[in-house]
Amino acid sequence: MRESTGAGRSSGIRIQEVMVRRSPLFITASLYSAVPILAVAVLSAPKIGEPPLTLPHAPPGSAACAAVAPIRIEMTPTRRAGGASAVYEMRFSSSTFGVTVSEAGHYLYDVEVAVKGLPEKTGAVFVAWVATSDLEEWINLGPITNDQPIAGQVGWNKFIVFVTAESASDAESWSQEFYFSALSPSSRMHTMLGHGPFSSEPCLDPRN
Amino acid sequence: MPMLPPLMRLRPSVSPFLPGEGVDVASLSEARPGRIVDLANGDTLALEASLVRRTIRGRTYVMYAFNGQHPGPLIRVSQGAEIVVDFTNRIDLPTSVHWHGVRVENRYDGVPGVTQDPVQPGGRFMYRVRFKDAGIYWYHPHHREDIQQDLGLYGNMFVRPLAADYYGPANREEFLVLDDLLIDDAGLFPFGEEAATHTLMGRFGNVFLVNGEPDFGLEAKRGEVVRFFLTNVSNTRVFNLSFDGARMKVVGADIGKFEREQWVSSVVLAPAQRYVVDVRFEGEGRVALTNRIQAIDHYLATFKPRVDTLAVVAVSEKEAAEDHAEAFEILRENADVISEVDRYREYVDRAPDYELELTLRADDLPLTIKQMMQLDTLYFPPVEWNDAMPMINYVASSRELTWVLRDEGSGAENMEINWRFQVGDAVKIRLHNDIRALHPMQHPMHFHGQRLLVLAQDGIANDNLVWKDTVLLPTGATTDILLELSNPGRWMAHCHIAEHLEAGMKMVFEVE
Ligand SMILES: [Cu+2]
Repeated sequence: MRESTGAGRSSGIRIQEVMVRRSPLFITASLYSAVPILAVAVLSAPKIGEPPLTLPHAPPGSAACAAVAPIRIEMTPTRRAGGASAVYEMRFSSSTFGVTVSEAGHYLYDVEVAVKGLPEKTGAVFVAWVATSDLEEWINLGPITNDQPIAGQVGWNKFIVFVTAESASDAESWSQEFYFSALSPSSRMHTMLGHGPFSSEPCLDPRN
Repeated sequence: MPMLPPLMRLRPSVSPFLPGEGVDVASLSEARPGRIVDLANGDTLALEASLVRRTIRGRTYVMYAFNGQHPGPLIRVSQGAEIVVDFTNRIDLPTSVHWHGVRVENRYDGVPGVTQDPVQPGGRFMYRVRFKDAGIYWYHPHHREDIQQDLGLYGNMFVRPLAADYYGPANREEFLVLDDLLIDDAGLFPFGEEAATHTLMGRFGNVFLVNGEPDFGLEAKRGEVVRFFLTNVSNTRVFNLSFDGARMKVVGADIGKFEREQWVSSVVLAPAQRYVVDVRFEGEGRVALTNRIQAIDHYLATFKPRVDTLAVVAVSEKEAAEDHAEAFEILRENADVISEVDRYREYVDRAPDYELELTLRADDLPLTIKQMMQLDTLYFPPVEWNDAMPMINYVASSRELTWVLRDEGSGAENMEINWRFQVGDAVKIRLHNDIRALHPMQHPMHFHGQRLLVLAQDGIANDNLVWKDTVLLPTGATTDILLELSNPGRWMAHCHIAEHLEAGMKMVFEVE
């Protein structure tokens, strides 16, 4: 479906290939072909914890039956964040089909990042980002404050959400001053390789 | 998923089944392409389900067909017409015909065990089908449809609206029936005789068929606006359809029009659903109808982009006789639909009258499979677009697992549920697709004999309503529907993944 702008206090950011920045290292849009470098990319990325998926909250009018959306994910703070906390929520962008995907089949989510208890930092603004898990493409969602969450739309298979301190809110790419980060649920997909019945299956069939 | 020795040893606990055992393929007639049958009020259609020979890409198979056609004849009628269908069963299994989405009289709904006895091989049944609502519908068996529907027993019904300007202007109408068929080196992949195989995710095919053809082609003139009526008759596959480079607007769905037309870049079409889209072919050339998905590889835990061309539209240099370019740019608002659904809008904020949980019980699956399923519990995709675990899926028959509809109010499950309503009632039902099931999955839920509106999903109100009969619930979704009870009788509601239906995912509600 046509990609729509994010909801709520969105910075109006839309996921369109043209608006997404790509690093010079960008090789291919295919995540599959990016797999071999994925592990390296994640290792060199900011340290990422494994935050628990917070369980469902109920939609309006519900008592017994809990909804799983929006998915609410607590972000892992760095030491810089002090006692501050951050969460991001994601839900399907609006669509008439019950499932929201782009023409290429990527799920389209409205993502909203909120922080609480961040200290003032003179000469700096806090900026929320979303990047593909290989860190080859990213979006500056915009400035974020304790009172003002920031929203945008994400259409990547796997991604990481993070908050940094920057000298300007429209920074082209992030500094290394990380405050929070969290993976998309899809980034946590488990590989079967080396587990259970596959523990003694070292070789991959290239046809599959 | 690679085929690995621990999985290769597994076999389903049922005997293999393919139709036409002992029949000489050469003695069967080759299936013909589907034809349009225009019927008037009071007409009778003789409909016969039989064995046919089917040649696909040079290989021959025994399949089923209605009146020897793939797809079955497209029944075209005017809104309000009533026809008689004199049905004969000449296949090797008991069967029935269900008129999907049509608000027929209950005794003609074609559901064995609920509205009729199955029609035995050689038997007949007279159906009387009245077409109350304009729109695009389809007919199919409601008995072992995992086999019968998959092997070709399906056809469209198009109910022409009474108002000439019901839809916007278009140069012509095309009806596309989308399907997939599972074929390997030995031929058609066998079904389960005593019970359905592939009950975990449903049987995905590896050969795409549009109107029964693996290489379907269409012609169009430059500048033509073509109205496509899309129907998904596959057992389980959800399509993400687009016409490369051509603009598309969605006009209608299962039963009639949307409140407002909408530009879309693709259409997500779940089993049994229909969408009506207008597409304008601007320039000369080839336009592919594609299915584009991000397939999952569970072995490597990655997504792989996948594009399949389902059909090709050859756009000629000849210009369309009539130019609808201007009208095509306008997104119409349908006052008739808006005023009709207005009376149900207040239900959006009401508490639900009923809550149904959609879940899975898989107590008796082999331990190898259980292990694998329990490995991956951190992420479940909203939709399984492809069969990412074919062996596991294959060996899971309805003997080992049960898909469950649970009424949260009473605790009753599947056929134990018996909701009772009065004609004229409207009820809000909250459907909740349990993400904590051992293997959660999307479910296209179909309610027989009535119309429904999707009021909200995951707490967000739907601002563009359309009457439907089948609603897709992605994994983890909570979807509120308004079920309008307009048609008396005992009706079935079920998941339209054929194998999930076979694995128990069905219930009955009664309207007095
Ligand atoms: Cu289902």
